[in-house]
Amino acid sequence: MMSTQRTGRGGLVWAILGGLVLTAGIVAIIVTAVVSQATPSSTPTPGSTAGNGGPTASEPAPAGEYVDPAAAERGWAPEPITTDPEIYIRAALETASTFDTILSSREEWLDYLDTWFTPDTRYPDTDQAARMKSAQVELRQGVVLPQEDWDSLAGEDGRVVARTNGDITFAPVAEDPSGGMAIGTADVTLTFTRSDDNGDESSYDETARVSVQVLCGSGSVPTPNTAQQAGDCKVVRYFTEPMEP
Amino acid sequence: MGAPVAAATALANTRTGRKVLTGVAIVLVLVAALVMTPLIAIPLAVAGSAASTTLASEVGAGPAVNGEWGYPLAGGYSKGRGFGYNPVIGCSYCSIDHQGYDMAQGCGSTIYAAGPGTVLTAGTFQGYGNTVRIDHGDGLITLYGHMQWDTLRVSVGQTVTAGTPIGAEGNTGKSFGCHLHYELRQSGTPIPPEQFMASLGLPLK
Repeated sequence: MMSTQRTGRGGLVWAILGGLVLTAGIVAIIVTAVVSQATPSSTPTPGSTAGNGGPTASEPAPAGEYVDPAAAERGWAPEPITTDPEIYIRAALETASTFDTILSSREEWLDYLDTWFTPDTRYPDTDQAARMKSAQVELRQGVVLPQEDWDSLAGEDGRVVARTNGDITFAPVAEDPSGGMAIGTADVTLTFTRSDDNGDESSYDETARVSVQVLCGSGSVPTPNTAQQAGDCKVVRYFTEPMEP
Repeated sequence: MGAPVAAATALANTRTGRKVLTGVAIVLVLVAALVMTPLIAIPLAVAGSAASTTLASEVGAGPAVNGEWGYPLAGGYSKGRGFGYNPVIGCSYCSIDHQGYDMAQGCGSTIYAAGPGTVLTAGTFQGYGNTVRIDHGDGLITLYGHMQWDTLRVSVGQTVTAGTPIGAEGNTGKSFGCHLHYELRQSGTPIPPEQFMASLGLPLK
């Protein structure tokens, strides 16, 4: 009888101890979680664009004739209507890195850049469309800022404005009987503007040396339904590295 | 209603009855605890895990230090782009010069001051995103770029030493994925972090 009572008391003590341990465990878990949550959140909070940090291309196009002056309203550099290779090369080098991630998607911007192209007249008519398409693919895959750059900028409401400040270096184009083709190379200053999580803008410059081949003269195909005409300058291709003599 | 209460009262008036009631109460508490534990513990564990990401490297010891200088990360890390000529494949408009040393340990990992000095910058800085710059004197400045927003633990003018936590690894500014951009400048000119750290007995990968 005594033995049974001792066994019963022992069981009761162990049950109480077990309950206390379990309760202490739960309390410890709760305290740990609450303390951890007290740490400031590390999640970035995108802010809205504010301030007047860096330059923007989304302003009225400067004086002169443009294929689509409204392009500037989307943060793009408008295409000039000109037969002057230097003017056009500068514009072509700038447009390939002028965009605003708030005002357009990367694909829309690249589709816009496609309208600057004209077929390479050095090749047979049957090959020209395919070669122009190839040059446009090369633009996407080897020339302009890649998708990751765009996404990084877009995450901070970013934009880029490109400017050519120095001289253009010209290089001859092989096998060009028309004489209207030219390759121009220049230093391009890219002004990046980003917003921090408070919406405050900051800008910084990077420089790249890039080349473009243009056709100014007979054989260039103007953008349809615009004031541009055959013979006005158009882009034949961009290069993945500087092309200098 | 009256019968069960009367029965319970009668039971409580006997020694054996009290034991039985106590036992039943304990069993009920234990069963309730057993059932409730997952309901409380799992959500809190998940929340605790998420919150503790930022503190991942704080749990262990700080970074290895040799004299007055140490690593900006504690423990192992993955190496990204090194210093110098590093063209971005497939982008002729991208800068070809990498002026720092990229190292990654995971989003939210604590970043430490590499040496003693005074904080010059604590916030947005050019394309480096959320950045801390430390002036170590004699024209030497270290830069810690791309840290997460709202994680900086130092302010401009603050004095720090090697191992002082300054923020958390992130992906702000011109960055593609969480990493630390560790940069050194001597009189304004970028110098290779690999050589500098090696000369201090703190070789980078």
